[in-house]
Amino acid sequence: MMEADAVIREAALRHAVLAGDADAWRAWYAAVHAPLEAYVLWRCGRCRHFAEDVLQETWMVAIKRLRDFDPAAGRFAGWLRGVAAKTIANHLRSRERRAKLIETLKQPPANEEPADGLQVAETLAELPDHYEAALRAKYLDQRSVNEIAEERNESPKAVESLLTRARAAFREAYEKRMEGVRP
Amino acid sequence: MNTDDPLDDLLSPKDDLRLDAGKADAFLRATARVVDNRRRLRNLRTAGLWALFFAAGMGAMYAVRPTKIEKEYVYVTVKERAVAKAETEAPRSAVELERLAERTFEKAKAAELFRLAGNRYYRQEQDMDSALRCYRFMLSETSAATVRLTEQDSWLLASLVESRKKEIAHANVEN
Repeated sequence: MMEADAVIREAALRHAVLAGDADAWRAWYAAVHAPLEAYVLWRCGRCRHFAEDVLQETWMVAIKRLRDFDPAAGRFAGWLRGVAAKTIANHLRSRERRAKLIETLKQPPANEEPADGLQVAETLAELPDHYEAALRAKYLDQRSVNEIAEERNESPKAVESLLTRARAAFREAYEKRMEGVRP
Repeated sequence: MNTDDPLDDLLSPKDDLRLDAGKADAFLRATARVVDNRRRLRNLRTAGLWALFFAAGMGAMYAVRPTKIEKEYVYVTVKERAVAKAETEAPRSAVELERLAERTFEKAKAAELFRLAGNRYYRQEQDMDSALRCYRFMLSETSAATVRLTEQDSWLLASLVESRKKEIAHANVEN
């Protein structure tokens, strides 16, 4: 789908949903829920409970603040990722929520759910936005260096450099966190 | 992503790690409820707006209604005018009056009707012969001496009456 078509489609969907068209909302939700869920799980260090809470709050915030979404400024999926990132940051900042989250994570982890998920989530949350975006493009979206360079309108070399710095920043912050956690 | 760096494993998503499908449905239901409420609220707001307009219209009508009705007296001057008896009767043509006179046996009334018929022939129809005929019949029904001429009467009647009076006077002298 051409970018202009996507903007027109999302503008029409936004208008319909704001007018109270539940069918339009279902169609829109179906189109973006899976990528949003994958993103939230990735950002939450693959912690299911944490991701569920974040997703629920993200959707509720999104539907209530849909008027703030500007189709001309970016895609709906990107706007939702922004809402989710803020929700994660709020969860991690709030002491009460954090304590609840730690309690939840004390439960035995499910398959493929890492024990250090909270640390991954916190590390990703404290990274600068452009590092987080670079790591997301590489790991979550599984884009090649050339694809990322094309999207960002930069040279592959510049992207490689950005990824190296982002990985180093993540490693440093993560290891610092793990030192505090380990007995 | 299979590399030796543990960081890659930490940051790579796991394909089989998904939330329960029921959660996605629950989020959809919760958000769709908000959209439905938005539609209801919108409808309610529209209805409320119409009700407000209606109430404003009614209020404006109430505000501009006359609070007191003042009576304004209009005086009309009534001017009285004497109406001749002949004018109050139904207008009749000279022919009708003449025929009515012919059927009237009371002499004085028949004379008056012949007189009116003669006047009408004379003034309205300019029929001198008919007017003269009626005046003669009139004078045959009444004495010329008793006739009181009015402004309505024609010079023809006046001259006939005078002529008849002279004839009577002359006859009296001869006798």
